[in-house]
Amino acid sequence: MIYTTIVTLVYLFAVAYLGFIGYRQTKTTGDYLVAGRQIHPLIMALSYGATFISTSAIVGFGGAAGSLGMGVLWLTFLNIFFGIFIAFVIFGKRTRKMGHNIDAHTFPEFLSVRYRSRFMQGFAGAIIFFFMPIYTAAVIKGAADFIQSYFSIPFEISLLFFVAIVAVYVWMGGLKGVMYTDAFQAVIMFVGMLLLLIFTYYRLGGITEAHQQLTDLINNEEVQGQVAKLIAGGFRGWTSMPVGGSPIWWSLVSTIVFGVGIGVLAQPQLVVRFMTVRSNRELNRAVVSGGIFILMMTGVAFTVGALSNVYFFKSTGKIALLAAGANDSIIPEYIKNYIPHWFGTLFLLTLLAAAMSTLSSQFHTMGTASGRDIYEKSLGGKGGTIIVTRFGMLTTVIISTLLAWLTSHLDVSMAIIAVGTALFFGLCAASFLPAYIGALYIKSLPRAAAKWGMIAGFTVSTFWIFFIHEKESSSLQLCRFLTGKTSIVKDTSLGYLAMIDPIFIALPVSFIVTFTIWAIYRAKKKHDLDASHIDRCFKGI
Amino acid sequence: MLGLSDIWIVTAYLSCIAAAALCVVYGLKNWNAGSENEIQQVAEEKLWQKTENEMDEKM
Repeated sequence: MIYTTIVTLVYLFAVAYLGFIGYRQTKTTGDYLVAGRQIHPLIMALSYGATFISTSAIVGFGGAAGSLGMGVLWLTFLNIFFGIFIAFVIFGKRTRKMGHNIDAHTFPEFLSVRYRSRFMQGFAGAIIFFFMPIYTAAVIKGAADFIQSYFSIPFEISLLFFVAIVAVYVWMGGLKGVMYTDAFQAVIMFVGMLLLLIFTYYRLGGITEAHQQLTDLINNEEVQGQVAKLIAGGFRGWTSMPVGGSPIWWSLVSTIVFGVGIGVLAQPQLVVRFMTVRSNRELNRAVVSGGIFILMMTGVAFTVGALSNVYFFKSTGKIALLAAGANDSIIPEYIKNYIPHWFGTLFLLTLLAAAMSTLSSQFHTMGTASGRDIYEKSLGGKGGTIIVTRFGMLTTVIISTLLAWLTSHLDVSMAIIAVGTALFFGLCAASFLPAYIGALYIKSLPRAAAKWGMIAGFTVSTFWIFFIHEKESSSLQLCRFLTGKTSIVKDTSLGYLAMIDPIFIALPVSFIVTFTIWAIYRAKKKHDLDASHIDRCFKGI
Repeated sequence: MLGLSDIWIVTAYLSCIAAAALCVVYGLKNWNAGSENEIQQVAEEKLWQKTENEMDEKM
């Protein structure tokens, strides 16, 4: 305990010191919002990776792998292919150049200036300000769950303790400081996850032997009794994909894999990262470390999460979900009970690093959404941007903490962290992705197409979240309050729609609306943006 | 294969490694590409910072 406390304090001191350096460098509003744009590619990649990967990925989705199996690895593939390769090579280079051309500081501002629409900046800022706290709460819950389990303290105390640390840390540093602390934290995360992988495989006799034990687990009669409900939902074991079209298949494929795998392309806090490098060379180089880093984070978390079933069953006679008591407790309980104590301390730091790097970036993004995007640019507020930004951050810290606390009242067998994360990622994809792609690649895309595509994507997505997709609508309670049912399609001939994640419907709708309006404008040979503005945006691209 | 019972899981497992390998190969192959007009890019950077400072003074 003393050892853990000392190591944690040393780590927090190092992070606070780096945050303080960032704070001292915070001289101007511009500096506070985007940071200097001359960042080393390795720092940029690690910072991007640390922002991308949080306790949500490690604890939440690692726990989902513990319940649903190694099919979650498809998300790792999408995380690397879309989240790093496509994001950096296809989107990142143009985002960086266009961001410089139009002098953008936030993602909503990027869309706003590109399409010359103050409405888009306010609307996008509002989506971030009001919905990102759901994702933030998921990240907070991931860390608080681990602290609660590791130190055997009440959830409320671990929650407040963790949020207090993050709040002070974020309050002290600007994005520039966060960039370097993120990189420092990414190194801790990398080492922690590497050791976790080696240890887990080694104790189970190697890669193939470990997988084989996991494969054989489903043949055990006792296990089959424990997962009977899952089997009825389409589960076929931890090394098999669920039955195609079954409820568990839809949950795995549409919510966990696609919701997050595609949604990462339009994450506001990640898009801003591309503007912090000087040239395409830095982005090319960042792809190397980014790809390896994401593999080591999510690939390890999902593999270990699934393999934890073998450990739990050998020692308790129960599968991971039943032994840990909750989906989001699988990774914390595995670390606590089956990993040497000294490593548990390192893993605690790994999770603190993962959570703090993501949260600091989220609070910045929500703060700038309120201060710059909504107050200053959309509403035309004069002066005091930093005060409004910091007040916005404080508000979102409180809301996120309350949401994280409220999740403790939800069904614990549900992958709460994964669902909360997927909800925000899917919402971002449906709202922003067509407009973002159009901004980068389609000169003739009119403002009206981008704007209405964004509105349509957001509207359909939120409607689906609150009234159709039962996994979310049942927790949010609005549908039950208005209709008495957990989903308006439940017990109807359209009941299967309740299994389908919002991104599967809202993203296509958003694309269809965007491209239909574009086609109409083209047919009429109209454009609502003048040629000189388009030339300015695409200068050098 | 690899102790995994489903070809889709084997494919996912290997695809993760292949995607990371793609990132490494691409990055190394293009290690020095993309900095052809660096002087101009630095100039843009300075211009941006100058404009930014002017904006800050007004605020």
